[in-house]
Amino acid sequence: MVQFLQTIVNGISVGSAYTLLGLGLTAVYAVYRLLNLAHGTFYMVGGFAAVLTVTILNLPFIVGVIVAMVMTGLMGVLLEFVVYRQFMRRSGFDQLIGTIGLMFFIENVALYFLTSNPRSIPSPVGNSTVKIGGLAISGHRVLIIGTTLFLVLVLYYFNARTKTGKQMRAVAQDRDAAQLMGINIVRIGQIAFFLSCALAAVAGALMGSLMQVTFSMGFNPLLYAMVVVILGGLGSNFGAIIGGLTIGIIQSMTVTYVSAALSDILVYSLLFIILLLKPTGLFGGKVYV
Amino acid sequence: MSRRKTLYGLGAVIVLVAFLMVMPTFLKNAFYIQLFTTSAIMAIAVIGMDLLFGYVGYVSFGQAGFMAIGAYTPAFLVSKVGVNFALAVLCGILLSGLMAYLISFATFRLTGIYFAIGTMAFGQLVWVACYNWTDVTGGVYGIVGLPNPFGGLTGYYYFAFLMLFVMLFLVRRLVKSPVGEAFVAVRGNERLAESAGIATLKTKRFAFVLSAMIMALAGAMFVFLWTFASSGSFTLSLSLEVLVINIIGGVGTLIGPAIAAFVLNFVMQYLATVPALRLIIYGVLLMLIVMFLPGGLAGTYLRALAWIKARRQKGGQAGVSIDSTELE
Repeated sequence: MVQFLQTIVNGISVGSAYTLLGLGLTAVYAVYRLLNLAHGTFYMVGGFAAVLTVTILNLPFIVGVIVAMVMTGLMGVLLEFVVYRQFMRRSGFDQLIGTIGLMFFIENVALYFLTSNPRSIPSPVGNSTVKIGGLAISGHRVLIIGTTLFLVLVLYYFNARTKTGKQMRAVAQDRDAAQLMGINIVRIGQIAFFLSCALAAVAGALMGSLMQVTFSMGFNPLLYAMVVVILGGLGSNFGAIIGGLTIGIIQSMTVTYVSAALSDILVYSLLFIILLLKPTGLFGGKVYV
Repeated sequence: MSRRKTLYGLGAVIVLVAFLMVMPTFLKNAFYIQLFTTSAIMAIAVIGMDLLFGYVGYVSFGQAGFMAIGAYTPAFLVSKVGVNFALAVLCGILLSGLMAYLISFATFRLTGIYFAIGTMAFGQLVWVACYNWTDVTGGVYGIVGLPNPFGGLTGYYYFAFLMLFVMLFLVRRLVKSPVGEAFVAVRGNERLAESAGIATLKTKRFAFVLSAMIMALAGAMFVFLWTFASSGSFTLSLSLEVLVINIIGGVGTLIGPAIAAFVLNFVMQYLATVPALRLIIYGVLLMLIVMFLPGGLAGTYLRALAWIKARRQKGGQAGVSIDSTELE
C-alpha cells in the first residue's frame, strides 16, 4: 500500500512536468493554431538557464527558476517575431514542419556549444523527505507538485479574471472577430509565446534538478507532452492537466510494477485507443486542421 | 513540342543511366559507391513518403516504423530461419503493408496534425517492440552479420539503382493514372472528392499501404547494406529526416525529393563531419524553405520556369504571380 501511494505521488510529480509542457503547447495552439514541435527545446533552455544561475553563479534556486522563466520567455518572444510569424502565411503542415526545423536548430546549437556533458542543479531542499503517515516523499517532488499547482492556479486566474487573459481566450475562439473587436492580436501572440516558454522553462529547471540537464532532455518530454495534449484534446487547458497526470501516473505505475518497456507501449496504445474512440481527444471540441 | 520534350527527357534518362552504369568501374573508391547506394535507398524511402504526403496530403510521423518492419522481418528470416533474400524481403514488404492496412482503420479516423501524431504513436510502438523483443529482434544489440546478397558493394549499388528507377517509374505511372487523380482530389478537398464519387477512405488506405510497402523495401535495403539491423536506426528522427528531405526537394513532385536525397546526402558528407552541425544546417534549410520557398526546390524551379515563360509571352508585363505549387 505504501509503495502504491509512493508510486502515485512519483507519477503526479512527473505528470506535473508534462502538464506544464502541455499547457504551454496549448497556449500557443490556442492563439496560433500551431502545434509547436520545438517546444521541448524551451524546456532544455530553461534547464540550462537554471544551471547557469544556480550552479555557476551560485544564486538561490528560486532566482534560477525566475531567471529561466524570463530568459526563455524572452527567447520565445524573439523567436515569435523572427520565425513563427513568418510561418503564419503558410499552410498548417508547412508550419508544423517549420517547427521541426527550429527544433533541430536549437537542439543542435545547444549540443555544439554546450557539448553533450550532463549537468546537474542542486535541489534547494536537498535530499530531505516529507513524511505523511508511513509515506516518505522526496522534498523535491513535493516542490515540483506544489510549484505546478501554484502555476496552474495563477494561469486559471489569468485566463478567467484578467483582461489580457480574456482577450487571449477571445483570440483563441475567433482570431478575426477578436481583431475586429479591437484586440491587439500581435501583442496577444507575444504574450502567449512568453507564457508558453516560461512554463516550459519552469518544468525544465525543476525536472533538470530532479534528473540531469542535457541538450536532448527536451525530446522525450515533448513526445509525452504531445501525447498529453492530443489525449486531452488540443486547445483544452483542463485536458492538458488531466492528460498530464494520467500519463505521469501510468508511466510511474508500469515502471514500478512491470517494466519500463511496457510504460511506453501503454502510453502510445492509450493514445491510439482514445483517438479511435474520440478523434478530438477527451476534452477537445472541434478539430482544427 | 510535346514530342520533342519527351525525346529530351528520354535522352536525359539514357545519359543518366549510362553514367550510373559505368560509374563504379571507374570509381574504385568504396566510400563513394557506398554513398551513392545509401542515397539511392534514401531516395526510395522519400518516394514512399512523397506518395502519401505529396499526393494524398497526409503527413505520417511513423514511416520509420514501416521501415523497421520491412528491415527486421527479412533480417530475422535470413539470419535465423535461412530463407533466401528475395523471398524474405518480400515477406517484410507484405507484412508492412498488412500492418499499414490494419492501423489505417484507426489512423484515418484522424486528419491533419492528429493523423501525424497517431502515426507517430505507431512508429514509437514499433520502435519499443524492436528495442525490447529480444528473441526476434536481438534487442539492444540488434541482428548482426547479415550476408550481402550480391557478393559485393558494386552489386548492391546496381541493385539499389535498379530498385530506385523501378519505384520512380511505377509510382510516377500510378500518380498519372486515374487513381493518382483521385489522390490529388483527396488532397485538394476531401469532402468535395467524396461528393464527386471518389471513395476517399479506400483511396487514402491504398496510398497508405503502398507507401508503407515502399518504406519497407527501403528499410530492408538499408539493413542488408549495413549488414546489421539495429533499433537505433529506425527512430522518430529517421521519420523526420525523410520528411525533411521530402520538403526540401519539393512535395508532390517525386523527382525533386529523389534528387534532394542525393544532394543532401553528399553535401552533408562534406559540410559536416560533426553531426550537430549537420542537423543545424538541416534545421535552418527547413525553416528558410517553409518561410520563403513553399514547394521546395522543385516547386521553386517550376515557378521560376512559369514566371520566365509568362514574361516572354506577355512581353515583360509585370504582375505575374503564381501562388499554387500544384505540379500537374
